[in-house]
Amino acid sequence: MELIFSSKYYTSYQSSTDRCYYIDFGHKTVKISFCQLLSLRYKAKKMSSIEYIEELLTHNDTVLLALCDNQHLILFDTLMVLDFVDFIKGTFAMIELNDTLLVS
Amino acid sequence: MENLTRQEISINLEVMDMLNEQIAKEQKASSLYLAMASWCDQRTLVKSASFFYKQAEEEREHMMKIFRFINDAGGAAYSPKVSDITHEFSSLREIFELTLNHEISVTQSIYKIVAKCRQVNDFGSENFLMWFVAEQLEEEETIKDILDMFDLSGDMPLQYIDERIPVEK
Repeated sequence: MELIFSSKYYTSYQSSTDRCYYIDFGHKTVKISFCQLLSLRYKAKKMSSIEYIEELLTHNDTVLLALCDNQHLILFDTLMVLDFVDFIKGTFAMIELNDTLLVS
Repeated sequence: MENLTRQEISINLEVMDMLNEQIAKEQKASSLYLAMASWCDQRTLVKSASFFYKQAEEEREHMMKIFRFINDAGGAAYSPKVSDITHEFSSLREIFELTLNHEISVTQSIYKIVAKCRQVNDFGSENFLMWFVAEQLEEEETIKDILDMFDLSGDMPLQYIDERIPVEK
């Protein structure tokens, strides 16, 4: 497995052999396909809005995220949400950078 | 590191995000034209109602075209939520003026995506969008022609204008 990106709480990997990605959530590592990774990107984008963060801070401070076609449930607090948003951004930025380097 | 992602998706991710936003705009346009068709239908403006029913269908077709393009390219298309559709209009002329403004904003939005495609060298998406560029110019022209007819008709009764609304483009 090749490291893609690492944040405070999470790490993403790519496996050329398995032709998929892995995310290490700290307490467990989840195998993830590209379309499931895109779905996480969509969720992270929604979670990055100011309104979403304000709602989270004001009301409950925790959020339960279903991922990989509802096979896994991950519990986040506000700090973990912020880190997760950065983690997804970083993962896709590194994927894009890798694409650019391979093309050039 | 092998480029797995490029093997899965053939369009740029930022372009994909913009296309998803465009899906929402096309769907909103479809709903807005349906509301306009209803307003016209309730006032027995038969030709105008037919025109907007047709427009609503066309905008939905545009939405579906983009939706399928994203998924066919290996991306993720998202079904849009549509809200805040007004059903309150003051006149037929106002409806066509709103339509023109809406079409202009859609055209501008398409241009922005084309500009992004060029910036990130996503020539596949740019090529796909060329159909929309031509379609938008055609739509704007149709609405402008109708508004010109309003100007030329002066104080003629509304039914007179309605009878001259083109149903088939």
